[in-house]
Amino acid sequence: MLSVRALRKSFGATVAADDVTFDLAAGGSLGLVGESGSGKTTIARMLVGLVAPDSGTIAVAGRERGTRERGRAARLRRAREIQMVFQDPYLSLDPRLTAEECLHTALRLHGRPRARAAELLEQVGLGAREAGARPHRLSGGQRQRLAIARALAVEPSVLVLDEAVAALDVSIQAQILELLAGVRRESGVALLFVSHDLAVVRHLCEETLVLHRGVVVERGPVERVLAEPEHPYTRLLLDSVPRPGWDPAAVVRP
Amino acid sequence: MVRKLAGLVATLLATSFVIFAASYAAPGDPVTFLAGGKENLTPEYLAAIRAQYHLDDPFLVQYGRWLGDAVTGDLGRSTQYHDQVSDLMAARLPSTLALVAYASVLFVVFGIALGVLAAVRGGRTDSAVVAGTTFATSVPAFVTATVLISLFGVQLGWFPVMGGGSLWHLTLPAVTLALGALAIISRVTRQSMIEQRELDHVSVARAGGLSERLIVVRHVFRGALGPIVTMCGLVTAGMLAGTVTVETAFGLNGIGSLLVNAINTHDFPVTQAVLLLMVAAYIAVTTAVELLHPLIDPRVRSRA
Ligand SMILES: Nc1ncnc2c1ncn2[C@@H]1O[C@H](COP(=O)(O)OP(=O)(O)O)[C@@H](O)[C@H]1O
Ligand SMILES: [Mg+2]
Repeated sequence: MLSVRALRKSFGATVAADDVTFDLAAGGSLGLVGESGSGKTTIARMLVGLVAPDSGTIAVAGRERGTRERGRAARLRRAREIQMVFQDPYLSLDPRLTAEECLHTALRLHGRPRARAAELLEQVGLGAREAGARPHRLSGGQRQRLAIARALAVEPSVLVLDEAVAALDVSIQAQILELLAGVRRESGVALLFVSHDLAVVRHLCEETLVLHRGVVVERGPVERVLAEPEHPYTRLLLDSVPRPGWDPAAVVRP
Repeated sequence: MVRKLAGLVATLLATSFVIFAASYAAPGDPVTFLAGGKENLTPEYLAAIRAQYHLDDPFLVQYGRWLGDAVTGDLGRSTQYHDQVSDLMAARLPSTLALVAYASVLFVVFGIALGVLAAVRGGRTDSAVVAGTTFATSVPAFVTATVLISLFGVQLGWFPVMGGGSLWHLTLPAVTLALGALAIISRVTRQSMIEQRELDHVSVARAGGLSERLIVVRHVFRGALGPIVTMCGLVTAGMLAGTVTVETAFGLNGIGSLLVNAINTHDFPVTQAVLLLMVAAYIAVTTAVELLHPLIDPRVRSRA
């Protein structure tokens, strides 16, 4: 489905992505893990087309994505290939639109019936009360639910989530992860889940990439990477994310 | 709302006090001007004048009387023209208001257009707009006035150079008044749009397949509107009190030239009334902008 080959991007002397290659199957899920500054957001933005790669290719269903698409039809098709959910929904939602209006806008642009808005809101667990509210009236978790609904309104093949739960309370994180797992089951959208935290990725993905200074240093099933990290950087990454009640031994146990 | 209104009244009261105190403390005895020359100053005549204008009462009593009269719409009589101050102002106000309105239309339309152009086009267009507006803000109004008069008024003869009465007459003064404001607004527009362009919701719209033109209109410009409207309001409010130079340069009979004349002739009832009107107008415009803000930015609404 999604096929990324030799993707490269640098900002001056900073290499944000260096020879990044991976595949994501239709309806599949893949984690992209790395510390802050390792290039995760840059890769995500290249995938949706907000940043132009220096070199390399991104293809969806065999069709290569150009950097700047001309014409309405090409733009919309491109949007339906990959959608993205950003870290902070307060910034990624238009402050002037209510939840319903936000969905209507996306649906209208893509020629979908307005009635889909109610279904989408229900799918992400937002009620009639939230439908008429603007983002500043919603809680952090509700905002991220809306951001996910907006991305789903486009009916993308691939959904990229850039640190989509990092700004939320741990209990809310679990709810959103559960929601995403459900969405993937029901709609068959493929997920690329970007996070600095392997333990969070584990809840959603079978496979993961580990990114270090723009280079993929390790890849494989999440459980294997957690249990027997091959690259020293991965080991460092696992040790560097302590949180209350988190026992590495418990995670490692098969 | 009630608290806001009380705040406005308090501000007006405080400024009225400052204005009155300033003219009370100003050098020169108004009586000598009232009497109209040093030669015919008999003590009886002076005393009569002092009594007529209540100049021997304590300061606070004078202030209280003036304020009470002003509230009921009686601003007193001009010591120079002996007309009612309110009549004098009513005669001068239309040309000043027309001038400010004309200048505001000019700076809002062209300021925003230039700012949008600079932000959207970038590159050389951007540099040209930034350089041009930097230059425009650095030129004093009287220099602009002189250049415009000699070029369009005298050399080319396209516009009348003196007096008011028509849009035609007001064009050069309005352009002079608008030029500095236009520079400010175009820079605020440009800056605000550049900031908005970086926001995630603009990226989301772009990734969602919206065209660049609609991204600029619906997301970038709409998001940038708050600071732009605020600045337009502040600049307009400032203009109401800043027409003096332009009115003098172009010989317009407006509120600004009335004020200058009143100060020069120690016509304190007129001076006080004009200053008070300017402050009131400034407060009115800035309040209007503040009330408009929630309509533009929904986040402000929830805090109010
Ligand atoms: N627009 C940009 N201009 C310059 N440097 C950038 C830009 N975007 C990202 N970088 C740099 O690229 C590196 C990777 O950043 P990023 O992709 O945001 O990493 P992550 O999302 O993993 O924290 C960082 O060193 C960052 O400073
Ligand atoms: Mg990031």
